[in-house]
Amino acid sequence: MGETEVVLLWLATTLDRFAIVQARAARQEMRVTRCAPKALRARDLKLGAGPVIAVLDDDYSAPGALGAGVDEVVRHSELTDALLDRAVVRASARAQARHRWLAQEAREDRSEALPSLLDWISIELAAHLSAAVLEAEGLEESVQGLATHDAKTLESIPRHAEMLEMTETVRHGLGKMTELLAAVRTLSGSEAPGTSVREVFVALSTVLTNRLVPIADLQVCADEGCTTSVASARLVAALVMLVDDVLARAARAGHAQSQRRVTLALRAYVVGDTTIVEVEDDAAASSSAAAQRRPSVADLRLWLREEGADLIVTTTPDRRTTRLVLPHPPVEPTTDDRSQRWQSSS
Amino acid sequence: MAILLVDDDPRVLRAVERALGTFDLSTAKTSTEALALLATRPFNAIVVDYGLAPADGVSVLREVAATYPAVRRYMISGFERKRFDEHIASNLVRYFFRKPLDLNELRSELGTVGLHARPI
Repeated sequence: MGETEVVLLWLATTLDRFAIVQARAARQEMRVTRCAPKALRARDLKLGAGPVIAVLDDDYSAPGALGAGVDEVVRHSELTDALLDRAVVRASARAQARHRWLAQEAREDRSEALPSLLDWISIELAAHLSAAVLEAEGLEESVQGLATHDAKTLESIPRHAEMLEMTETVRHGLGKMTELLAAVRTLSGSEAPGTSVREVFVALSTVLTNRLVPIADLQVCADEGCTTSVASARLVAALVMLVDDVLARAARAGHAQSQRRVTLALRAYVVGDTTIVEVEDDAAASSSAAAQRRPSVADLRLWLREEGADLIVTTTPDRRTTRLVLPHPPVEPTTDDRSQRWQSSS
Repeated sequence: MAILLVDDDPRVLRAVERALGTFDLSTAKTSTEALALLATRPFNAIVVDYGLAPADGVSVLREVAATYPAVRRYMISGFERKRFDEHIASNLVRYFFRKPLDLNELRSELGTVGLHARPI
């Protein structure tokens, strides 16, 4: 669906005046689709697509169509060429405004999650580099010392076993950095559907290890088949923001000073045709300052709903659970399915 | 000069031990172990990684400042320096080493410890 192509949904039960829209479709860029009002779903009209006009039998169907993402509704009994012209202009203006708003929102969302994620990666990288860099410098000094052939300098050079230990530390650091690189690649993700929640969890726990040490213990549990059609980048950003919120609440409540560690759990499991992702913690509840923190739960929920997902928060005195309800990716028909369809249609 | 280095990564402890071979260096892997060592012998300085458990590095330095005020307090961390600005301003932290550690910076800064203080 192009961004400027007008989609006209014929939801009316009669085909009277259908010729008007057919003529219009032949003249300009407009796609006409017939659809039963009850079959219309928000996921079919993803926000971000071009202008959508619906032709209805009566006003009763209008709220459902508008709620599903239709830009303009027209009563079938009043349909004329001039009315359709005005509807196209208004729907196009709404679609353009929506595009501008979504582009702005996307930038803001990324700007919220990205600094935290980069901070975690930086801390993790520094931790793995630290010993490796010192030992590499030590090895370099040793090799330079060997070249001097000076007895006193040679005496100060680490013994063979010690040099092997230094080399092993450098190798270990490089191995850890390679793991980190793999995690960063997973988190940078593709926009393709079919994000594996388990892979995202594993990558997140890798980049979070050293960030969590002083404050929290992380528990990760994800069923094998947990996938979602929500873009990887969006899921990662949502999880980063939720985890960051837990860390911020823990810091404000002085958990580290009181030596009471926070337990942070990331869980994922399948329920019907959705994957449920839970972020649960026992950090102290938000103060009023925390409540003002961006992004709010409402922002996150709105953002996820654009992808057919939802967010539910449950708070009790001792824990907070945030559940993301994520749609599964569309199932690709198997070879058997295709051959069956071919047989039934022939 | 006696220095206590606290870091939860044994490889960092070993690497620093080797790098600071001429210093009287003791090591600890947890905040509890560090505080226990401080109670057993005098130190001129303590170098603490922020990422410790069960208490973080700042909590350890607060405890040290309260109990052994003459011990010089250093912080190491992969976090940005600005996270510790208030602690540096309040003299809880004398100097901040950012990870990955720079060997010359470490030798140079810790080398001044013995010039100004005796083990307490």
